[in-house]
Amino acid sequence: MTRFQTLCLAICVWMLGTNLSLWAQKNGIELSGIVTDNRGELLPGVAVYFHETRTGAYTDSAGGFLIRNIKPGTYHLHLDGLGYHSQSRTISISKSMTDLHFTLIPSELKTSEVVIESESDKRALQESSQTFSIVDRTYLEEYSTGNLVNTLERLPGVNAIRTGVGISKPVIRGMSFNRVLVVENGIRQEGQQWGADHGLEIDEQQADRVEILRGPGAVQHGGDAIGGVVVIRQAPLPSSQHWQGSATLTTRTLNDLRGGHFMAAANTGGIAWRIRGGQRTYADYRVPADRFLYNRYVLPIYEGRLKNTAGKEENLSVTTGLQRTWGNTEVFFSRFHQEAGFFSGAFGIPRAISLNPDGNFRNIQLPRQVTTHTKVSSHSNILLRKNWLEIDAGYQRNDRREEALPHTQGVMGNSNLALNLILETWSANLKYHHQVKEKLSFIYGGSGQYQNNSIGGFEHLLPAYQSFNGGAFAFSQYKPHPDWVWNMGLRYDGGEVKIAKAETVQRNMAGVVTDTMIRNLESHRIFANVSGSGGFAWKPSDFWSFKANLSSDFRFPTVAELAANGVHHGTFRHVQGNRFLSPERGLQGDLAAEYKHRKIRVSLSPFYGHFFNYIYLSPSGRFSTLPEAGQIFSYMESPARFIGGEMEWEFSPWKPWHFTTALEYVNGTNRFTGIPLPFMPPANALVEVRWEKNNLSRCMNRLYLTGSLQAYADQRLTDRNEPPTPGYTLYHLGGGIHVKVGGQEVRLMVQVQNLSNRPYLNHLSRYRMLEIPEPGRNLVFTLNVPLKGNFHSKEKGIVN
Amino acid sequence: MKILKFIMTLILTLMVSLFIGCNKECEDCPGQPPSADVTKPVISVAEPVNDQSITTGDSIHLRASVTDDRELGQFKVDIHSAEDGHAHGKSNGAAPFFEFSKIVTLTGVTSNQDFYIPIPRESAAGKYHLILTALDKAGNEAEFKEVDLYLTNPEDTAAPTITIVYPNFTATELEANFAAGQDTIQLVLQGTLTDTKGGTTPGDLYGYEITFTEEGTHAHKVSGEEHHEPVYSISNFNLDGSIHNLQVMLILRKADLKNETEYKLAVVAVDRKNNRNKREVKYHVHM
Repeated sequence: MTRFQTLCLAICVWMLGTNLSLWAQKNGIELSGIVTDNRGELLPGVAVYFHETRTGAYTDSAGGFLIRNIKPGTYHLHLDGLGYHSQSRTISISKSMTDLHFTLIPSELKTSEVVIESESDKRALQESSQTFSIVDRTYLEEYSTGNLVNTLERLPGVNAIRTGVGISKPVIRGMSFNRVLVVENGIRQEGQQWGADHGLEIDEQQADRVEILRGPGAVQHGGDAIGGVVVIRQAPLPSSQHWQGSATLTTRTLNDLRGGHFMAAANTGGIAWRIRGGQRTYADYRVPADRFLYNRYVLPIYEGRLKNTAGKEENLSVTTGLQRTWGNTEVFFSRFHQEAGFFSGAFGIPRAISLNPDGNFRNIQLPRQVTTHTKVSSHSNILLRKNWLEIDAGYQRNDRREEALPHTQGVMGNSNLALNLILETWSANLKYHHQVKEKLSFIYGGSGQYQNNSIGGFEHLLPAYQSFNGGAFAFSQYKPHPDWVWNMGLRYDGGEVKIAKAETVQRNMAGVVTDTMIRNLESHRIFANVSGSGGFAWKPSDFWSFKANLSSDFRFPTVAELAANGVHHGTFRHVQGNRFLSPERGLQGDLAAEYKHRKIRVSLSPFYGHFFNYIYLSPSGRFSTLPEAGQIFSYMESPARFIGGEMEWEFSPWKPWHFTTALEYVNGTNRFTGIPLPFMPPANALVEVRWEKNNLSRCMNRLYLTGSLQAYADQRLTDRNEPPTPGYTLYHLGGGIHVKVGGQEVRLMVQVQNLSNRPYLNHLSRYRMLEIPEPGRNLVFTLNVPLKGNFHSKEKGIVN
Repeated sequence: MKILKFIMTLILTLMVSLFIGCNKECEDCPGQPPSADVTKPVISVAEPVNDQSITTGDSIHLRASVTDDRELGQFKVDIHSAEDGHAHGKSNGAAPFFEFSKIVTLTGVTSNQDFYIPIPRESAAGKYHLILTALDKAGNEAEFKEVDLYLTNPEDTAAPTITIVYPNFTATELEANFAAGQDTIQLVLQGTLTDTKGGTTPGDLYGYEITFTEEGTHAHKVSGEEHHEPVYSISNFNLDGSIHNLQVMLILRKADLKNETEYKLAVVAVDRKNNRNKREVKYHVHM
């Protein structure tokens, strides 16, 4: 903890330092002009702002805007107007400009309004050669599942590997674990991603915008970003002289969840801060079944609830920031704490005796998982001679505890701490955005990450280790013609890992060591890799756009893959690493075609990937000699192929109506055996009808209703010992209203998930092996009161 | 528009040919097995039979076979107590539970396993599970087979006798009535536990457990077992000799119980060889 305090202190001192050097720029450059639609109609209320500094203005009633105090440089100017396609354009400013004229194209499609540019590489989405999905706060709120990853599952190409209702990890195009990178505020989230029951440690409320890159992003993000990247961004801090606040209450009938969340933020003279906190507790969740089948045994589910699936979550985050004309800097602190019970029948072979009700649905008994993820990071954008330098630095500590009764024979002491993994990660990234000339731009960057993992508990799964990774890349964008954008990137990575020797002892009743078992030998591995990618985006008309991308990807094997050796109770498996694995390498290609008109958008994005040595857990054909374990599953490498695609269709024929369809399919095969890879999501479709109206009357700001259907096909393409999962269809309803009560807006949102209370099995659920049905009907109520205001109105019209 | 159609056609053709090309390339991949083994091995057990009784000191005769379409991998035998163990200590002279585990590596497509598993004479009596599992070389897991066994210890085959003087355990149902304003009821249990090793040889009592449990309102009888966590439980596993006078008081608290509900008061007595006996009586709780 002392190290932690020192770090906080250091950040405070640094913040003070930056505050003292207030670079007041009084006589800056000005930018002014008008915004019209394509028929020359002047548009009021359009946000015109710079992505880098997050400053700008709204157009007035005559469609005019004026932005003051700009430093010379290359900026990305964003234009957002309700009912129009958002725009992003690169603008080089060296002197004041007046008479600027921007034209917006009307759109009745919902997605057009939020699509701006990709957070990770600061490019307009239409200029990227890859496919992104972006969702904003409104989406996350209106489709909330109580868990960020599960909420994102609605998006094409995105699925979740889950354990009950509280723990989930993202799957993109059939890839998960260390193949999907999660980046929050510029820093990669590191928390033992290799484990199927290790969920993402990020508060759902903390995310303001989530950007999902489907496909590889290894060149810019480093290895691990093979399947996709999930970029999570917090809400921008309030603009100068403004304050914000909000209070949210949530309840869910499925698990009697009660949650509360608050936020307060302010900005005085360009120094901004925000504090956010929340707590939620939930009881054992309901399943539409009174029994489940496990290996010929019928086992009971008492009172329709899965015993010991209760949990609680406590989150806190603090953000401070400084916004100046030379750029901005933000410091984030967050702490995520989750305690989640594991279904009592899911540890070892389930027996009726462990399923008896204990008279309390809200208690979190053993076995359970306790996770605390603490993170401090900073993100800065600095204007250096017309170009932008981005700096990220962070420290995070992932403390993961699995608590269970010491059922292993001869374990001494009364500790219930079965497994404790503490992973500390220090990371830093540097990116320089260099606009060489109008048509050519470069991003040069480097990143480094140091990790230290320590272990504890009476069980052994993973050894202690230290690792270091570093990489450098160059990424170029060439725009020879307004319709064409070419992208190309090259990256070099090096890595080193030092794995400590691990041995465990067996003791008899008297505490005397009777047997010593070497779990893994000490090892030291060094890896290096060169990877690259290239592609184009072509927009031959206002309606059509095409993309193609080809990349060579890599991933250094994780320590779990190299040296794990122990029983993973939830999966009844003895997991064994292989210290001779080489870096995973593959070639992936993806295409995208999109047709976008005022009332319709259709997109198709097929992909294909070939891996020379795909690393995954395969049965070994040998039994484990450890107690409570079945077969040994070891990490093996094998050539593999991924093929699939997504299709999206959005249609808004009459003003308040929106129809959406998303289809996804993926097939992963081991090319040596011809057997499908494990944990492959089944083909599925989402169909949604939405009715939405804003500004209905003076006291009603918004009203929406949605109805959706999710259909999943059978999954018969399964790995050895992985049972096929039958298909199912789910229906959901939702609705919400934003009303003004005495000048104050109040938002009420209601959802009914799994309307028909259909029992079904989820192929990607860890409870699927036990044939435990997924959650039943769930009514979700969310009440949100947003507050905002300004201290005094000197600097009017500045937006985020 | 013409150029667009042309491009779309081009992309589609490219994709289709990519798919076909890739599938084709696979047919003559060198070193690739014609088709992978995904068939699970099958286990059949001839001996022991379910619910078979075996005397400790003797051996279990195991006869089983494992078959598969391709090369077999391993066969595993596991024997462990089927009791949850909380009413049986591991010290104080109690007989240890019998435990056995054996892994056999197999070859070929059929394997007959025929061997004897000796059971140490001092092992605890009671219900045991024998579990057979098998793998083939590719790692396909067979469905496991489970056999219930009952062990008897020849040194002591008699379970302790439970004589309850008060309350009346022969009644069909007793009542626990909370009067208005009454929050607790004192339930006194008196009786004797006696044990022999068979005939007149004095026995060796090990312990008892008294529980007060809600009756299965949820008529879930699952694989022959019905379970409910007791509301109250009192136990003592430090007994000695062949006779023990039982004098126990349970304090029933209104707050712990449900009105107009059936409960069960049960007494379990165990000797050092894990021979056990149980007496129980129904209680109707009225508040």
